[in-house]
Amino acid sequence: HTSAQEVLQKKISVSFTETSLDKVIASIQAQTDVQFYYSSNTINARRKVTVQLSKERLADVLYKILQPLQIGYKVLNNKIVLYKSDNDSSAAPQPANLPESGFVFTPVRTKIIGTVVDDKDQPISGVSVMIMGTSTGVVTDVKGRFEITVNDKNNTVLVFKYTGYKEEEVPVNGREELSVKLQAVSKQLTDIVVIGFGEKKKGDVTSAVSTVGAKEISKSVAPSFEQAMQGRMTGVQVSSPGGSPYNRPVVRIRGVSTFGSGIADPLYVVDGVPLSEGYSGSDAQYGSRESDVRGRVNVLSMFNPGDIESISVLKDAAAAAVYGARAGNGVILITTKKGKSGKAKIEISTVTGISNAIKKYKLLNTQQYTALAQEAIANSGIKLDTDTLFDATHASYVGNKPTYDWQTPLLNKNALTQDYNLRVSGAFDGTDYYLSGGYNKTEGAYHLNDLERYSFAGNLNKKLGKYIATGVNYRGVYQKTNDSYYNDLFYSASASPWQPIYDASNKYGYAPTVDATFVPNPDYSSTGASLSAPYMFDRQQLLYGTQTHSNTFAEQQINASNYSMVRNFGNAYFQVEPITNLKIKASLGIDWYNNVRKNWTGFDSYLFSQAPQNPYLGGPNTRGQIGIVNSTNFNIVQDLSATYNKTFGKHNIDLLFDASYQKTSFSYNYTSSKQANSDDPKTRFILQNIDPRALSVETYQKDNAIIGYLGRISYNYNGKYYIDGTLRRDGSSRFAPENRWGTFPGVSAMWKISRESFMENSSFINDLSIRGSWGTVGNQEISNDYAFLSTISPYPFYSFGSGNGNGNGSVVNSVSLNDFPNRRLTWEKDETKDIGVNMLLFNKLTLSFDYYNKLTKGILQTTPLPLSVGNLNPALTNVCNVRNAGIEIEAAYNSYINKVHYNVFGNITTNKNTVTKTYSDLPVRKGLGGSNISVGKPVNYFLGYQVGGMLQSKKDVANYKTNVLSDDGFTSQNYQPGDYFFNDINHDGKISADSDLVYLGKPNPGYYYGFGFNADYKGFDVSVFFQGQGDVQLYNYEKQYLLNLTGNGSNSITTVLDRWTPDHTNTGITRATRGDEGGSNARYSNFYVENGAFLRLKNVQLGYTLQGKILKSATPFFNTIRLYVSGTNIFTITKYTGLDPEDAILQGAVFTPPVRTFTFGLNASF
Amino acid sequence: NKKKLDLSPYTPTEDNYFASEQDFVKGVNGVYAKLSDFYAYNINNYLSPVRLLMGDDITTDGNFSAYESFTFTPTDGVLTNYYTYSYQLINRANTILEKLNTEKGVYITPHLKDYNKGEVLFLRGMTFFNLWNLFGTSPVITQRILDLDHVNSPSSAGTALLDTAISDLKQAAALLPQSWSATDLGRATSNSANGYLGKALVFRATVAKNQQDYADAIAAFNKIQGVSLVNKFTDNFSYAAENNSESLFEYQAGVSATDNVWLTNDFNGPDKTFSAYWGFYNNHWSLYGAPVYIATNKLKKEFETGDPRLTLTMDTATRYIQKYVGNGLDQVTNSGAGSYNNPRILRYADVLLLKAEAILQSGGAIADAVALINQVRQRARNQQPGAVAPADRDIQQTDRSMALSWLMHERFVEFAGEELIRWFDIRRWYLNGSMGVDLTSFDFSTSSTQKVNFQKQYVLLPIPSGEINSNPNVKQNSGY
Repeated sequence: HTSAQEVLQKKISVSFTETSLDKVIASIQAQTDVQFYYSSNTINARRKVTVQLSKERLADVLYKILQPLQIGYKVLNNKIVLYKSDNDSSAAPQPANLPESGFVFTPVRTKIIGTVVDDKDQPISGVSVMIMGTSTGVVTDVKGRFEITVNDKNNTVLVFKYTGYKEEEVPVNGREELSVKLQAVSKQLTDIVVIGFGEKKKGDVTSAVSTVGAKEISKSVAPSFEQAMQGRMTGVQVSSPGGSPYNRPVVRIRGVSTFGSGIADPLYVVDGVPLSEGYSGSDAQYGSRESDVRGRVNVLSMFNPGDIESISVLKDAAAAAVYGARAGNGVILITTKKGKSGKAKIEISTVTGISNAIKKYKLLNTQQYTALAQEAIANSGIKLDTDTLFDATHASYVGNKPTYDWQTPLLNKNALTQDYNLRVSGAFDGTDYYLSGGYNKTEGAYHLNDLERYSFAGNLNKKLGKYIATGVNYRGVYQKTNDSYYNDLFYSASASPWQPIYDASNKYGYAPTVDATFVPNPDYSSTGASLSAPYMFDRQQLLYGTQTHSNTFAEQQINASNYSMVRNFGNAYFQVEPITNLKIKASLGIDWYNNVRKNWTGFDSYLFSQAPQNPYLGGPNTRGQIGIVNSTNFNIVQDLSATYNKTFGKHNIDLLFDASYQKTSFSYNYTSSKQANSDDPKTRFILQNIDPRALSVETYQKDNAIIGYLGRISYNYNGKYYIDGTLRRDGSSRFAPENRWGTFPGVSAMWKISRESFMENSSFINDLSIRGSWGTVGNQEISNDYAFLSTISPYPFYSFGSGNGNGNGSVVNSVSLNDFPNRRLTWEKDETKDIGVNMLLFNKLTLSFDYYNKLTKGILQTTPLPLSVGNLNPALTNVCNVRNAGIEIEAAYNSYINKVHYNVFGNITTNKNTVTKTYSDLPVRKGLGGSNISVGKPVNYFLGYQVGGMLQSKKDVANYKTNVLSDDGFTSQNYQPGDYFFNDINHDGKISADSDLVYLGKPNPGYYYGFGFNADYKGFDVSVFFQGQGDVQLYNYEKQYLLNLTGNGSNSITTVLDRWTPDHTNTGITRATRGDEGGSNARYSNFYVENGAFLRLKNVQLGYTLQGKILKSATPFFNTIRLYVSGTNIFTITKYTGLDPEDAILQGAVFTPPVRTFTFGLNASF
Repeated sequence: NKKKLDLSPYTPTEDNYFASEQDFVKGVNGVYAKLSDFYAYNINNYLSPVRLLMGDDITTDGNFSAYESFTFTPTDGVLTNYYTYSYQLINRANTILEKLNTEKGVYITPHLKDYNKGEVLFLRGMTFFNLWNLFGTSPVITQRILDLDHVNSPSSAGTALLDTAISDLKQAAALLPQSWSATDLGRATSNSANGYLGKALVFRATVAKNQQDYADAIAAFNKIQGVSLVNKFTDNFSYAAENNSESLFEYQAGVSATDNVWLTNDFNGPDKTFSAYWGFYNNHWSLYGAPVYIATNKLKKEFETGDPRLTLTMDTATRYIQKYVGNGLDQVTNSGAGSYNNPRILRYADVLLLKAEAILQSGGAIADAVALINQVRQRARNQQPGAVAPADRDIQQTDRSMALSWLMHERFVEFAGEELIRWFDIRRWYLNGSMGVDLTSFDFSTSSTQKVNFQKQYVLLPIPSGEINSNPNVKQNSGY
């Protein structure tokens, strides 16, 4: 260490004009690394001095400055002590008097001010600041500021204590202004939670809100963010759509709270802009035409998950009330990343991975199938025309034919996933910025089934002076999606096993399905008023029996379906603070997306179809058929808000007022023609050359708007008693003016018991809070924007004037009024009660518990009006009620074993769903199958027959007919041994769909959960994540269709090998037979209902972060590099025998088999 | 600011429609257009079982055995559809009537408003008439229902449906023109209305044994002018001779751009169907395995030897029906399943024979009645040059019941295989109780393997469960 004596020789420069002495000394101290000591009693350090010295020895510098001020100095060890000389050097302290550690000055009482912040630079209020070794202390205010007076600012140490944070001891070292940063031990209480129109610290949130952060989001490989929530949050159920890159996951918050016409999806809000998005990609509910033109691509995939900082889910009505009439299904707030203080940060992340379908069906080969068919024919005596296929004496016998695998070629082996992101962010001088560019290409489980996304995002926030702030946020996305697969695995699996796929002699290399010849169409006229086909089928013969399947593989090559989508999303705000703490903010947001879908059906595709269509419909020269759908969603949001916060002593108040207007417009035009003039992918969609008679155009437009006024008050007393109240008033264009406006209140309160004096000194309870909330929100999402109006349909046709040889007459226009315009229609009302407890123990264990009870009243639905009312279109009414209740438990433990940091977490949500009211208590839907709705039952429960057992002998058959089915009505069915018998529930001697159906299960899980752990040690990290559900049933439609015992040509799963025969009676699989002899073994019954519970190892990730020397030796400029490998859907434990137990809600509507994905990723920053 | 919420659809709404005469005419056309649901292929769910199978003239095996053996269940889809479409038509009629009644000054063309009102009342009356014959007790609804508080209309009783039909048809007869211009052929006329009015009155008289109704029926029939039997019997079933001089009302089958028989007429697009369907008579491929309808053996035997109508009605070997689908009669549309050929709903021969029945039953001159029967027989005879059968009935006959049995025979063979005639006849004759028709011991001559066990309550079909389950004020007919 350099001694002070040596330092006196060091050359320094000082240049000050009229500057106080202490600043000059400080400058010298900084240049020399030597401590100066002086007593402020004797030396006036505020005296102004002027000095201009360049590269002079310290000894000379000191002399020139101090001598005129009559200040002397002495060097003691490595310190320099100043003293008042008065020309009397004896006044100087003598070395002998000095203690080894320093010089003792007369203590001076000094006021020290400071701020306490957390690791995100957010102020922390309520931190206790104590002078070490005394009982003197103060508490930080709402802005984290404190003021404390100390006796000796040089030798005082301050102790900062706050629950959930590491205790800090900070030596003042003479400073009069301090900035202290506390490190959170557990972030449970201090993480910032976005709560809608604002944010709060987690420990201050009084209602039910779940969050997931960027780190968890990055672990999901899906191109869309919803799956990042799966299993990570209580109360949020996410069902993944198999291995499709663009099908939409189903997201339900705290159960299914609407059915019928109301849309059950939550409201998504991105950076304060509520999306009004038409639920593209999922939505059969939305009206078949509309969902058809919107197509299958999930529009939420147009937000790059890599840009998302956090996802907050507002679950109870008190939290969601800020979104009033749209919050009934819960609200999901997406907050994107922003620049953080510090120097520019550049981050690169790349992910590359491969996916493979996990399971396929085990199917019969041709020989096994032939045997099955022969047995079915023999057992039933029913013969079809195509049964020569199974007749060994016939030329068309297939029994010797090879077996073709229709599944493997459909599946995309090692489907590639690529994701690249580059982000630049930072903040300086009141400006923060964030720029990102991303590219993602995800291939699906099927060939020609992929998504490619280019995304850009940028935001800039600027503080102009102290009272004005402004910012813009923009994201632009271009996304291409290839949807060119035509039939799913399920369809492929059922192909006759002897039907070939390839044929080298065919022009396309594929085996045709049909032998067709054409003859001239006698009605053809090239000059007629409407287009007609020059040729029509003379003969069309399916080549492989009645169940000949379309050759999907050829269709994929000949036809195409592509989407290109563009999204522009942005908002800008301007904020002023005219009175301290009163912020007024005006913002404007726009979300515009355009989706162009192009479909192409090549001329030759009829050759490969199961049901060939005349390819000449477009005229003599057509090369194929085209369809172009161009749809646009435009969404504009205007928002004006005022916030005010103030602390009076221990009272903390936050006020919010907001007024907003949002208008959504949707339009599409659909152009199609059976006459494309070219099959060149570049030119086939050019319309100019198409005969106008061959063009068909359809346009559609609609819009809706909502106006909302919101007030919120948050109050807490000393961080101990909290109460929040929200009131929102919404007006919606979707309802009649007299029923348009509604008010949605929410109240929540919290008592932080741990802040009471009797608990404050508890050694292990760091936090204990009890919360309660009540509120009402609404759901206005229905497919029909004008349901209260009676529209005129221009569509039924009729003709008059036929006679005298004219059989047709001429078509006249007509109109019909088909609606039941219900002016009383209004939103669904959701009333939620929530009681919760939060705990933090030992600074390591967090626990939270919630009980929720949500009653949805007046569900928007089509009510089964009596048939005699006679409206063609069903009436939309607010009639039914449904209740969702359950508990949510979440726990996490965060600690170290030696230097291994680890974190174990788990959560579980239970849900009991019950329909409590329907129209006149009549079932809304009740009958054989799923989707039943009736009072006292869960939504969409299954109702079906109950298998009583297997008839094993003629005697069993006779007994069943006499003892059970005594009535003659339905006993004529030709039951045979090997058939199921069904229970006659009402003992009326008939098995009927009116009275013998029983409850078979429900598709919504009674509970779902997630758990796992994370650990890191010296740069290595590992995370394991499980997820699952239970108390759920599935109707296995795969089994219903593929466990085919009729031998009609449609292939079967190998389970049928276990079928009943007189020699094999110990089985649950019925005999091979045709027709409906036994009243159909294949009827909707409990035989097909299976336990849908599963436990899935959803994700495992192993990472290594290059550190220290290794990093420095590897690269000159990266600050961090993390490499990782990750596996998704590693294994699933389930009793469900179909391919995917998660398909519960979709029920195969868009079936893509689930995939297992392995990825390699790299994150680097500098 | 709140005006921002007043958004309206990009299509016309009721509030801004009905501003011109044409708008009303289109609305009236929409009521006619509802008829297509009754006659269309309906995705292989055609309603012909209701119209054809319950009597003893047409039979089938297999699928529609309920209509052969009277083993209906309230969930029967075809019955439910028949009921549903009937009330949809009534709803459309009530809606247009409401609009017509509140219209002020839109109509310019003289009489057009009366005509339009008459057309709508005619269609509604005809529908109530059919409902009475089939379901008997379903609700009478003559006001448009716009309010959830009024959706549960009560069951009707007795002849209430028939009474409403009579009232509607009476009004319609007074409002409608006797004929329309060539381009409007097929619209209801005063003849249509008087014909149906007379028919409804005869029906009510048959079951209520009410002399005044017979007298009123005869009066209504007498108002029919300018119609006559066509010379060629098969013109009543030919696409080339629609809306002919014998025709009082037909369903006007037509064809859209592509006649997509899988889409209903109400489908929002140009490809839907409003053609008719006859495939069940000629075993067309579009049956997809559903059984063909054929004549019963009983019907075949009922024809007098040498009656030319026998071979014009059926192929005597296969008993396949020839009406509508015989040689050259039918023309299928470009869909291959639909047909241009109009189903004849009311023809003059029916009027003549109903009038004869009214005369006989109300104590009129037997000779007058026999003369009417002979008009029909003479035309039949003329179908074959030199034919002697069916010979004229003896005009001197004094045995009223003998004359009545001639009448009943004539109706059987003249209208065999035509819609809603045979079952309606035997049903009302059975309900009369003294016309020698006892359905409980009746020979329905079915080819279904299931035995007919006719019970008294089967004169009323079950009210569909779709109504029963949603309307507490409607009672199920007994026996279901």
